[in-house]
Amino acid sequence: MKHKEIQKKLLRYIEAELPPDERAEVQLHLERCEQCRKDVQSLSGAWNLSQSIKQVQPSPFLWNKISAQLGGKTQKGGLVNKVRVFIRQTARPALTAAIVMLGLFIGIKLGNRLMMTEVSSRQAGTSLQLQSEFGLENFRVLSSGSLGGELAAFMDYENE
Amino acid sequence: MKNLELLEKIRRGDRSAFKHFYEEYKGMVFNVCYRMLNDKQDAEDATQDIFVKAFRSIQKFRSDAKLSTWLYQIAVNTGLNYARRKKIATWLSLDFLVGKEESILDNAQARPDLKLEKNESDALVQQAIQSLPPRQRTAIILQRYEELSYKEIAEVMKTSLSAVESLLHHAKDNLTKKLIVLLK
Repeated sequence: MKHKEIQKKLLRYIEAELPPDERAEVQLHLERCEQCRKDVQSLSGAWNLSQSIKQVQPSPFLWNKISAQLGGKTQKGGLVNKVRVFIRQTARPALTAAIVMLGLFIGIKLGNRLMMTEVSSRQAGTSLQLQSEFGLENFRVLSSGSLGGELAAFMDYENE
Repeated sequence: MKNLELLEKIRRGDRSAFKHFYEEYKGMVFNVCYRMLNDKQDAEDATQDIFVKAFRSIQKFRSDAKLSTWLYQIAVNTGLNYARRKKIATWLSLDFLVGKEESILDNAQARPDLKLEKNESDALVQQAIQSLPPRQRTAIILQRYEELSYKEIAEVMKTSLSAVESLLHHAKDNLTKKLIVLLK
């Protein structure tokens, strides 16, 4: 058997659950493989220590809750427990998911809006630069009826 | 009080008999739930549900069957349902991103009488057990912590002896792989 195949059988080896031929094979491998010997040691330590913790006890008030749910307060007790379980297991996670989705949605919308503003201000900046390079702002002194005056009015409109 | 006598009294709606029944089996039910869910609050909610279900369906219980086996069946099914819901809730609440596990410290605080080393080992073994598929997890909890025989596990899980053998075989091989990684 290969090292990996041996390794996955170590817990059953510790628990003495392997058939004799497999057990002998594992034992032979352990004599040669230091890594597996270390694994057996740490595995059996954790496994046995953990088994010594057996009984965990519920809260002393649990009977009161059960009794309330079964007794005169059946409806109330049952409803309270159901609502509590619903909030913890369904409503709270769903709300978290909804908040994350809302955050993403707002983030995307805000990002798009910022990008649009940046593009339009960049365009406006380019247009002003061109006007200044060609001296087109001088057209503003011309009367509004003339061709130059109309062109200046159009440029102002575009810049807005 | 003998089980049959107790059963008859509960069937007649005797609340003090049911309290007696609760006192006798609360440790067993809570322990199964705690091992399945790895969380005290969830285990208490599940235990409450299990005893309420037991009280309400006790008329359906056949007196020739074993009371503890019947209660284990309710406990295992309820525990698995809670575990399934918990898994979905963890996924939805994104808790898995921050690695919300029952911490070793939580255990140590809850049980100051036990050394941290013991709690560490228990927490690692618990973590490895939680990662098993539901049926393997159920079989290993019933064998290791409840000390049920293969036959009793087969009755609780409504399956054959050979299926239980196979489940435990695979559960232990999977646990070995996980524990070797966790212990490094």
